[in-house]
Amino acid sequence: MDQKPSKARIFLDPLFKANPLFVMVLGTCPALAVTTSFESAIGMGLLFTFVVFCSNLIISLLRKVIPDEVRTPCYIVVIATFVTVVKILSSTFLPELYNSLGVFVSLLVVNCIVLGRAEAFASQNTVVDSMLDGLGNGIGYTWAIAAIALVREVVGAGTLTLGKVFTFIPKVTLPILSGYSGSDFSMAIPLFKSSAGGFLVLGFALAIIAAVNNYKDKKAKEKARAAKAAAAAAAKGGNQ
Amino acid sequence: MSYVVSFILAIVSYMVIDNVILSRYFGICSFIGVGNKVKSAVGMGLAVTFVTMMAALVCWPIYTFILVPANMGYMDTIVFILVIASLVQMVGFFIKKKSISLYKTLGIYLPLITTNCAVLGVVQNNTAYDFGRSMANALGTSLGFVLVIFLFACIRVRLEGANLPKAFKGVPIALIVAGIMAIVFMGLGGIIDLGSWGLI
Amino acid sequence: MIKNTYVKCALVLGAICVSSAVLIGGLNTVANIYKETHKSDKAPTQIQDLKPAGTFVEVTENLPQAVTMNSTKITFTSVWALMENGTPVGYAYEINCGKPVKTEVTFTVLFEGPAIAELPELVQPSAINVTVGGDSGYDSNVVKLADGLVAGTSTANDYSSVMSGGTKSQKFFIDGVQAARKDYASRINGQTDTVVQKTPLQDIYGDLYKAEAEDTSFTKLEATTDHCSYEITNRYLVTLTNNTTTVAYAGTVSFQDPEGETDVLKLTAAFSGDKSTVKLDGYKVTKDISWNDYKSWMDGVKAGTTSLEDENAVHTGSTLSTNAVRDMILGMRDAYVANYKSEVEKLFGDKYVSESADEFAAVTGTTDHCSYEITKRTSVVLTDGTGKAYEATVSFQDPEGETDVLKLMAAFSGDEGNAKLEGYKITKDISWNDYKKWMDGVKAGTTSMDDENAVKTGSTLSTNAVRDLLLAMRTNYYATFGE
Repeated sequence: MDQKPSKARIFLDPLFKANPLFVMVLGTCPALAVTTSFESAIGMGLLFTFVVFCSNLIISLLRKVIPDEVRTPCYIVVIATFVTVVKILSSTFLPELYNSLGVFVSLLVVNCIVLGRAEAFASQNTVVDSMLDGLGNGIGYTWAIAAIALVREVVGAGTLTLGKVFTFIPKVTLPILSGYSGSDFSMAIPLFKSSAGGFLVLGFALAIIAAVNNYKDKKAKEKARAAKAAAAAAAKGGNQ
Repeated sequence: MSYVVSFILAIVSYMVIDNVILSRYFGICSFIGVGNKVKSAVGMGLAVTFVTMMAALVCWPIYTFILVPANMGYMDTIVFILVIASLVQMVGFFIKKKSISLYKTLGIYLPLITTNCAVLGVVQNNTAYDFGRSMANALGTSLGFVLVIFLFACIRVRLEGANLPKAFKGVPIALIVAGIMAIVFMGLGGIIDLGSWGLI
Repeated sequence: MIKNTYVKCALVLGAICVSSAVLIGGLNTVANIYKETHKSDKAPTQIQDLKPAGTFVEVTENLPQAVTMNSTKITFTSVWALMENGTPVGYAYEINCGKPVKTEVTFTVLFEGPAIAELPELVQPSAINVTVGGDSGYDSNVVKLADGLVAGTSTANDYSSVMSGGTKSQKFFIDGVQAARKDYASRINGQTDTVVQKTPLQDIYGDLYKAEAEDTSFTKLEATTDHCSYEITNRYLVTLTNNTTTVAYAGTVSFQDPEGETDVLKLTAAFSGDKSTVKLDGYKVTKDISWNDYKSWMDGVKAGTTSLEDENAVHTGSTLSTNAVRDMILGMRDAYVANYKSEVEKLFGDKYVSESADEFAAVTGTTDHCSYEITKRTSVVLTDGTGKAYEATVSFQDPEGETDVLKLMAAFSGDEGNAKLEGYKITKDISWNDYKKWMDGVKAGTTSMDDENAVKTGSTLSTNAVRDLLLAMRTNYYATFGE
């Protein structure tokens, strides 16, 4: 049985090492659907964080009370409650975000990450730990889909539009690969905005991360081998 | 245009042209995790079809005749997911009783149908349609799901033996293949214009 | 704790469900209250973005109707007036163009500044905000097209600026822009009753206009002359507020201009008067040409200073176009005359052949029921003999002590001692209606004029008055046989 990870580890792991999207490959549906717009992705991430945080909190609170036989339905109801809460709140205070996310707000209910964290963590850990875990996963997922969205919007549309969903920011469209006023210059690849582009971007992103991880593993292995060889040599040398 | 023909057209439209996985982004988790066993992939697809049809059949009347008149439309998500979860449980019991081997083959996938975006997505979208259209949506979506899962599993069987760079093995290449499939399906867009047939 | 697991499960699950329902129900109520109290006065972002510094006020009356264009049906979701010092200096529209494939094309557009109501093609959008450009992948071309329209590098007059890639979405978009600018062109000129476009006849008659009806029995008249070829396409019967009726014609005339181009002009012209003194009451151009001089010729005819017959009067400038228009107006005039039926003719219907006014000294009389004055008599030649038409006034005291005055025309035919009431027309009516029933009975032959008991059909006062008048007319009619 592993040592209980420290509070810092609980929070930091999901950000990079155990990133729910890039490492665990969970929650891929919204990662492809809402990432055509950078702002929408950040908005979705915020809503997601809220849901996973609150559901972790409540489920952890009730973990001793919920009988094992009905735990899945209970978790589902709790998660569905918070998803509905988030639906009502976002449709009232952030209607543009709610409209741009559409049905995927409701689909947070079946988001593998939320249910997964509830099942794997919140049901067995303290409230504070669960809150941290929720926050960590939320932020980790948010930056992951934001990164995908950034690539898809900048390469797909050529411009980066802010202020369309979060209306308290003034609307500004930054031309990057296209959209320079008065010129037809465009290096944008519209494929990235379509569904096929989503698959491709995520696929390549995961491949890159896998490559980086492989490289790190390789280096670690070499280091271990070198250390072993050095230790063996030292032992040999010591024996002489 | 007769109702039957328009129904069939709607099914084809939802199945192929606006495909649930490749175009609407539902059901991707299960899609990626389906692995390379064609038989279990198809089995999963059929189970999803059954659950989706039943869920659509049950949830639409609940929404239209109970929730909406009681002004409780906002409870739709909770009610729908509970219905789906119970349906999956019932399907599980049923399969367990009838055929243990099938149950074992499906394994973890069965309870995973509950979290399949496709099922809840279809049911949630159906709240905006009339009954005929929602059943067409459910049937078309499930058939599209089965179709793509089947094609995908076949492709993955081939991929097993391919000489891929290490980084791409597994999920990344699966996604890229899905992307290429999506491009292919994109070409079918606009063939059936539901609007011009007065179906929208 | 409760031992029985089933009960425990049910209780826990039930408790969670109930608390969830309560939480959500409460939140929903609060959210609704919030939405009510925070109903924003500001324009929605997609409108405000068109001119961030502008003040937009929603237009709630005389909203434009949905219109079917070349490719699609355009719906106006909302209309906003751009206000400056309390007056609108522009209008913004929220347009829905329908779904080319799976996703709708919707946009907002702002037009500013003056416009010519008849020339919406000249209206340039100041800003366009494509909210949904159709399916993703096609929408970028819709946005490009929108940007081009604002910059002036693309045109919305036709589909020539449509780029490949989502042509259907772009066509839908152009239709939307056309519909919006058409409404703008009339709305900015104060013609806010764009829901019901002012008809040309309403324009011609102004306050005198009461109603119009198209004469569906009219068949198109075509002709070619030295100057042009024209078609008279519609005839309208116009009722004015003084209860008279006039006739108007709509026509199209085309001719070759000096450059060899074919110019096409459409207008509606209204005529009144009887066969020998036809008058041009007014005209309204519905499709104009670049030449203007025909207008001063038509204004002269309208004022009476220029004669329609005078072909030399046409030397007012561009004789080519004026001669073309004159030919069509003459054609309309002839159609008017051919169609013209005098009041007397209408009384006799198909029997009518011709009429001539009699030298007639007014006949007055007073009876128990009324006092009357027969003012005019017309002799009429019929297909089966002769007849006479009378115009008269009759007045009587109503139960309230008021004096009611009724003016009518009545037509008689038949031999002495055997007169028949062919028809009647009320030129000034009273509030009592029952005398009409009696008159209709006399006309049909089911009621005898001589039967004073037949009058018991209701308001006997007015009917008796009218009866006395008719009896007086008939007496006069018989008297003419002796002349």
